[in-house]
Amino acid sequence: MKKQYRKRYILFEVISNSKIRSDLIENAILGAIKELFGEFGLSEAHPKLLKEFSKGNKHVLQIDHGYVQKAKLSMAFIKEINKKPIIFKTIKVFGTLKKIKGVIK
Amino acid sequence: MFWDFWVEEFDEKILQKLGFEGACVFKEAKSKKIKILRGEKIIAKNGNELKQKTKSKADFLLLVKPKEKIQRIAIKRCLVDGINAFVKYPLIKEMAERNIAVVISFNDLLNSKEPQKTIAKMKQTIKLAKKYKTPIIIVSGAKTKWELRGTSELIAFGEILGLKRNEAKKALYVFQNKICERQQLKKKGKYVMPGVRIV
Repeated sequence: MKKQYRKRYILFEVISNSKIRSDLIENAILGAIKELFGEFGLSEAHPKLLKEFSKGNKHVLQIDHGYVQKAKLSMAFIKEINKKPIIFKTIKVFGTLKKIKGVIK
Repeated sequence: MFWDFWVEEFDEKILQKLGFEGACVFKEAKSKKIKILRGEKIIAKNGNELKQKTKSKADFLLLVKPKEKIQRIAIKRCLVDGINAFVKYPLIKEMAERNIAVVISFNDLLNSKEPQKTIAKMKQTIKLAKKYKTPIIIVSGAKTKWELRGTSELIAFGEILGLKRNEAKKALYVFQNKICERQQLKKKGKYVMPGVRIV
């Protein structure tokens, strides 16, 4: 059976003066993708923040393999969350969760 | 390896975290960990103002949002190193001949009121720059330290605008390294003018 879609995992860091909750980060990313690429793009991208992998300022975003660059650009568009200025910095893009576990731990 | 060639508020820690080796700063800054070049923004309303402002001894002269008439004077007389504007056909070809770069700033898009139009114009400029082999520089254009963006984000920005991954990477260091080399020659007193150096 064919896979529904091929996934990629973006490991990124949030640079900010204060700690920001992961659900706020997820909402901000979804909003940015929707703003840039529309509802259709959002539905194709399948973005999802994997909260079990969040550690400190580092988080993992699961996305469709064709939307990696678009997701990076969308994250760069986010200026602030809850009126706190932030910068998203992509560390690396992974193809499997197995590899990402090794990097985070 | 990578440079951010338009930084107004310098922050050493953030720039290092974002993966930059050097920066061109438009205000005075000192750092031991990051290479710094001094840049100057030029905003001119007429030819005389442009000539006066380009006498500056900054390492990198950037003409910001000029009218077409000013663009033409700056390009024909080789007065600047880069132009941050949407350049059209005959001028972009002359820019390639005179080794003047097109500067694409992420901040233009970030703070744009009509991002769809800005993206379209940027895409058009990059398409022409690729066709005539004009040097392209991608910069964050940060006015505050929170507007700085990482290297991978700027590369993604270049890719979305129509560059290939390799070309987008080159837009972050090729022309910048040339300016840095020129600056070093100037310090040694071996640089005379474009195309002339003491051996």
